[in-house]
Amino acid sequence: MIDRITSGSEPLDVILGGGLPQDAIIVLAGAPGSGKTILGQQWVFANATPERPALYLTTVSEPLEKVLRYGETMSFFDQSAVGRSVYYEDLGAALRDQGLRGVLDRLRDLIRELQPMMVVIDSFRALHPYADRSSGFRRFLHDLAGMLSAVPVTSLWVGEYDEDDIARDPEFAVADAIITLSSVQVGQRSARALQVHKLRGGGFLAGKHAYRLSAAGLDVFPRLADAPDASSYELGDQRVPSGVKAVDEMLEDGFWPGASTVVAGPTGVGKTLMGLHFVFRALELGERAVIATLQEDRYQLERTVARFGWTLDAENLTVLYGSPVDLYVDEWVYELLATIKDTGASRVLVDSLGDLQVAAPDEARFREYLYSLLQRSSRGGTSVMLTYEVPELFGVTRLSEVAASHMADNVLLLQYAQIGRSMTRTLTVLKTRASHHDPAVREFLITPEGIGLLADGTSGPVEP
Amino acid sequence: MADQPVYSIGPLARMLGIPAATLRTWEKRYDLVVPGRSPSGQRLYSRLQVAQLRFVVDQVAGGLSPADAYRMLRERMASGGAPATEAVPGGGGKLILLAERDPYAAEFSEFYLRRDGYGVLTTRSSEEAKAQTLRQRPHLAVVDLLISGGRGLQLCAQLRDRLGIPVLAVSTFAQREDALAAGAGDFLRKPLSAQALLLQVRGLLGRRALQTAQADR
Repeated sequence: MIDRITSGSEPLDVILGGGLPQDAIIVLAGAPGSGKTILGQQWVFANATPERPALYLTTVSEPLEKVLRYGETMSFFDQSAVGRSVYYEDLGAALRDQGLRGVLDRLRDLIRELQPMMVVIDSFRALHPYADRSSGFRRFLHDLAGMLSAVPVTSLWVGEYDEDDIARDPEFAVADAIITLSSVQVGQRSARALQVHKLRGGGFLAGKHAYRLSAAGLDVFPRLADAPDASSYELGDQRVPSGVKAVDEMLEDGFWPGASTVVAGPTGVGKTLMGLHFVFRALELGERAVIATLQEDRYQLERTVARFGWTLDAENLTVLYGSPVDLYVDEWVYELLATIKDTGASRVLVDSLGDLQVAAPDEARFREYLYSLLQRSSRGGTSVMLTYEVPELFGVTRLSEVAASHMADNVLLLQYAQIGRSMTRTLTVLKTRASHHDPAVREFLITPEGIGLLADGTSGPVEP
Repeated sequence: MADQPVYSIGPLARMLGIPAATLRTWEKRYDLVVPGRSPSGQRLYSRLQVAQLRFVVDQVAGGLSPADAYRMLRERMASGGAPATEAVPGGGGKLILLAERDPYAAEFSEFYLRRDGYGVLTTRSSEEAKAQTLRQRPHLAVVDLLISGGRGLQLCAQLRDRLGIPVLAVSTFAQREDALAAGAGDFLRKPLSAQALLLQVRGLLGRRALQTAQADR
């Protein structure tokens, strides 16, 4: 059993299966500007004490002065800890004058003197050119690893490595854990991603995890990928009304509690309005609800809901707005799950799935996010409605590319239909899980009261 | 050797039972016990300075103000009656056999033991350890249980039973029970911290001194 030490970031500890392995050698690799030095300093300030101090060593890549100057701008940087529990030293002079031998000698002296529990070497890769030949660097690594293994110290070797270096450079073979910080292309933008490649003596969350850098340090969002859970859970048998009475009748009195419903259709057909019915009906019943929108900001949405006599200032309603620009899906889904938990919402409207899909790194990851969101909501008894825009204005023929249509319990399809020279809207219940539904194609209107289905599916009176 | 700087401020503060900040304040205010500096600028105190500071701490504990305690120390130093370094806890020259297979671990352990005033015999094999023990009769042995391919337990038993040497067993593995069953007085899991090593060595030597005194009575 390997003891763990916090990385300085709670979510990163989750990814690491409890934290960084104690008394181990960890390589932190990444391109310049990826946040390696920030994470290194975040780690030492989270753990160092005067009794068990940390030693931060710079080499010849970045001057110590610069590391300190920029480090000082971080909120975790505690100036009073410097020289008391966090010691900054420069190995540059020893390296220039005596080469790698000088680094070993200097480090030995510092370990003897300070007895640190943590040592950061930044940049480790900058040591490579000081070996006269490759066997020289391997010998240095052997001595360094031997020295660091002989004392209770966890060391972090920070360097500007790329993915190919992991298979080539010998320090990766010596390392007990390897963490990389990189950029991944998502559409037209790049997003930051953290990945654990190796962690001896323990499990970790595989795959790429999105992260952001801020003055608070590195904030990572563990990749949502819940394993299928076959265990049973109780949701009750009280049906959840959709907010449109006629639709409830088509669904045999509404949805099952905890169910997920996709409302698919072309632009402007009334998907968001269907979702608003769903949300405001919950409020009428005294329940709590969340609108998670990537489509409209609060002002735009307020204008929309006001047309139907509702208000976003309603008690028990929480609006979560996220811009689809620079959206990190993991971050957004975590925020939504936390909001559901904090508010105790029984219903959530996600508007729209398409924006989330665009922000996801790939289709497989999008399905994972969606599965986790729907699974967690269902187990918490929260009913979710998700809008999804399809490109075809008339005669939608396929929904197979909509991952949610497979995962969701119910699918409602809203379409435009041309009747003579005029255009109308239709609603079809395509799928309901564990209940029957009316398969009719029902025409509907959008009135000041919202969506109203025509009574007989043709031109009868409007049913609210 | 008495003036060689050996203690950094953290361990010294712990030893004296006062905050490191107090030591720095006294140094600045009274300018009497001024430690040397390491190449990296860390304070390093000699054994004599440790004795002087212990004298001050004792006077303060007895009711004197720090200023009066320093005045008294200054007068004693001027009259040649400085506190004796024997007051500083440490090895007092006792001989420790260090039977350690890992050269890096041996280097650190030897350094910390010597800094605490012990003489150290370092050996890299079980056979060499037995030979050195017969020749030099160390006061205590620190035995890595994985020495000579894992013959450390046998070495513990031989040192303890045949030669009467108290043993501190150390190992990368959790072998406390095996070590105690083989005759070790105590056990430490590697990697070793300086504090844990010195604490156990002092404890075992103290226990042995007590046993010897009782036997003499």
